[in-house]
Amino acid sequence: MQCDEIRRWISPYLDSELDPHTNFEIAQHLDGCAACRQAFEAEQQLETSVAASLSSDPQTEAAWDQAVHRAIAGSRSRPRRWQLAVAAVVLFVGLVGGWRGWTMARQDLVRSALRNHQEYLANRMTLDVQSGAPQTAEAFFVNKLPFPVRCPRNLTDQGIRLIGARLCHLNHVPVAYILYHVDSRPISVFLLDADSLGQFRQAAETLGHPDAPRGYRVGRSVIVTARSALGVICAVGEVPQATLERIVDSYASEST
Amino acid sequence: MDRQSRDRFTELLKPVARAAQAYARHLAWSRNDVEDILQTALLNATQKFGDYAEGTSFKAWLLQFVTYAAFNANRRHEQIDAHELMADTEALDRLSAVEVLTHEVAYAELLKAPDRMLGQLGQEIQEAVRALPAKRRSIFLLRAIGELSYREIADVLAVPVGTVMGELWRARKELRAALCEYVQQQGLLREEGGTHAV
Repeated sequence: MQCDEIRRWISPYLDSELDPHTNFEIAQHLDGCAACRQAFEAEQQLETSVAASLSSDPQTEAAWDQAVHRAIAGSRSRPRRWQLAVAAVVLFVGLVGGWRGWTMARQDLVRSALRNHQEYLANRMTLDVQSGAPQTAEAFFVNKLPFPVRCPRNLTDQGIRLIGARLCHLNHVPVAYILYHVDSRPISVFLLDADSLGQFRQAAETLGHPDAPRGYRVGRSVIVTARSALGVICAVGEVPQATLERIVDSYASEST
Repeated sequence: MDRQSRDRFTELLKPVARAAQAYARHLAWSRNDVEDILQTALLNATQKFGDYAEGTSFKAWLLQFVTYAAFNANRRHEQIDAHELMADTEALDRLSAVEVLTHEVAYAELLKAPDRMLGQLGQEIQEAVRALPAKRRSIFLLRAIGELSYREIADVLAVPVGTVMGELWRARKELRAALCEYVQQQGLLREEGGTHAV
């Protein structure tokens, strides 16, 4: 084949779509023809560069994570009758035995944070800033809150991905809301300063108390709260408690 | 969907997530539709997961749902689509001799250093892709982002393999022409010390 003919096959050749015979013929020609070889290599590079510029963005990634979460949640099979019966018994035992835990879960800060987290899940809340960079989230809160926001840098290494942030209110108190994803599951982190804790009477009494639990479970959601040098951290998500504890501890160590 | 299927579905999703996201993003007419497209595609995919045959390309299977969801979402913008389809896609064939030569010079320069040139044209590349007619764009994206074979693309869009080849060729030709235009308009050749002979 001549150069003109060879170059007509450039696309299917680079896409590995040619039959072995034509493929071999072109490969042989390229071995002996520097001009065609250069043209093929340049085309390949152009194709790669164009494809690379068509990547995704943080906004689409967040939409994807949310879509995965909802699709998986929506696909859960309906419980059978015997499963409902077992669940009823477990619920009864749980209610009787875990009355104290339930009361704790009604704690005002926990309740308020959970409600906000559910707002996000229901797609009724959007982020003010979408970025995977902790410094971008921190910069967003400057001059918006009476306390500095410091986001830990080490969470990405543990598969905990920063998605974005927004300013929100819990019981009319302005707080920093920071969203993370772990395996497409959203985790809401709320930060408020120590002065604002007065607005949460029950939380103020229990936080820091040696008998108070760190984690609460309400349905499938887990909530972990902690005091830090700057204020209070509260993380909510449908993930193991240990994951939320890691996040909360990282935030607590940032503020010391 | 039982727990085992759910876990398997989640596992299969991970390696194809980036391709599916980018595909939906660049296939959607409106950025506002991307979230809906992904939501619909994944919901439909979970419901039909029982039909997926293990051992076949999960990426091709999933991108089929993204394609349908995007085409449906894009129907809302049919007027724009129709207008676009009426646009003169054969304009390239009617370029004057000077224009053809100008394009060739620009294209030669583009091929000499695609990374350097394209690095400055991120937004323009996306616009050029967006300007492709719907099916052509889908075929180009399934190849460039999804890295699907011609046969897989043909199956996703239910078109013959020959159509895939032809449309892919036209898409690349149009994209390169658009990129050459941008390169010239922005004076990249002159700035970068290219030949700029015309």
